Amino acid sequence: MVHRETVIPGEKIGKNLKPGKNTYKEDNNIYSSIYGFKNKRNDTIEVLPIKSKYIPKKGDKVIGIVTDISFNNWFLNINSPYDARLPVSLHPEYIESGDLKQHLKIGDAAIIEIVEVDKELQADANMDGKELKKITKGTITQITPTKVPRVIGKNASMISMLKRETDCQIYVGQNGRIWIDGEKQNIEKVTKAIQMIEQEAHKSGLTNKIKTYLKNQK
Amino acid sequence: MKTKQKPERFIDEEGKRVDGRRPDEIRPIHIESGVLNRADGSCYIELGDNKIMTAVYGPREVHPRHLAEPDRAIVRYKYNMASFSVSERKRPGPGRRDREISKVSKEALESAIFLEKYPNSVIDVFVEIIESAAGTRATSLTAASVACADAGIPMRDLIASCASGKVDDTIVLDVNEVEDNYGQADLPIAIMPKTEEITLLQMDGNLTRNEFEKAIKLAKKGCHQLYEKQKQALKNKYGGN
Repeated sequence: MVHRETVIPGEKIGKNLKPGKNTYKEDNNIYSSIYGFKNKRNDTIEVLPIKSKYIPKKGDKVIGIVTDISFNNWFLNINSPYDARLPVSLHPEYIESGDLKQHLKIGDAAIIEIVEVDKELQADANMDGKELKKITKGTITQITPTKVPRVIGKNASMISMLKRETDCQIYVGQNGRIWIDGEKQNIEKVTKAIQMIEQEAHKSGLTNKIKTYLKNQK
Repeated sequence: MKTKQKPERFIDEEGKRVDGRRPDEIRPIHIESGVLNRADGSCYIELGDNKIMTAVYGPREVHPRHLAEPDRAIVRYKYNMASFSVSERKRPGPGRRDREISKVSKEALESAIFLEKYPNSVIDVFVEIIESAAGTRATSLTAASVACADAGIPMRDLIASCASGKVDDTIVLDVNEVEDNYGQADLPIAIMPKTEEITLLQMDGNLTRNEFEKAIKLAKKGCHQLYEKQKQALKNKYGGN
């Protein structure tokens, strides 16, 4: 990874280019709207955020935690200002009305998929599909959503290395929640490695560094 | 505040002020971002003897729900002075002055944030004055905008804020405690440095029209100096450039 320049909100980052993510345009000048790293791709300039909140997007697979149950919906916290609504009809099993608590109670976690996001950013979720399920064992840790690509790595290099080295099952939700399952000390190792990735996400050569770190832990 | 006496003269023969600064100098400043682990964004600032800690949480869900705006985020700004922050113990809790400062600061900060990106949510800003020595409202805004940037909140620009004032019929920048208490006027402003748009302007005391214009100009100069420090504080964190 090349060294990236840090930019702050309101800083001029380019002229006569296409404004990308997290930028805004005023009289042909492009300014950054957030604190992050400048990234130029062809004729588009964008800013990669250092920290951010998760904003639900259609098609994202996220890990949610049930916070509320209504007559025919669950409401899940997805580490975002906005809750996700999971209707009974999109649960993989058949559920009698009034029987919602038998399947997911408050505090339970589940891997869900965002199927629809409306104008007010209220998200509708689905739990019927591949990989989507209730989480019954293991632990969940959390990182800032902008660092999810770093945890996965190029062509999933980082995540497959983590799985290989620690023999753990790992699932990374787009909202920054990570589910880890395996032996107790291995879970701890992965959690520490993920914390390291979060702290050093802006540095290069991370996969090898984490690999040696895990090897030394043995 | 009774501990600090009114000096005979605010500006001596050499043109220096009571604390040795020239009329157009700001106090020594130190800004550090990301100092609190549990907050989304935070900033610690020292300007002269002022010591201020700010924390930003959000965007997050609004409680109570009825405060939410369906088309934009709301900002809640809480300016709080510790009871030990001033030389004579302040009664804890928000008073008339704290409410006023919270309101004007909130509006000043709001104008820099892209609120429409996060409908139905709230950005909570907490400002704690640990030590106060004049100019805390301006200094807290400077810190709050750094904390917001640190939290990853999208903004048009940072907000830099600074006061100018009048002592001994001279316009001075960044008034200190005695100048604030016994001076002739005090004019805190906040600007977005890129466009120099003013987002906060208050005045205490009397200024003629010419003096007012001169004071605004000087305060803007101070804001630009603060802006450079804000920029440094944020940029140096990730290797600098």
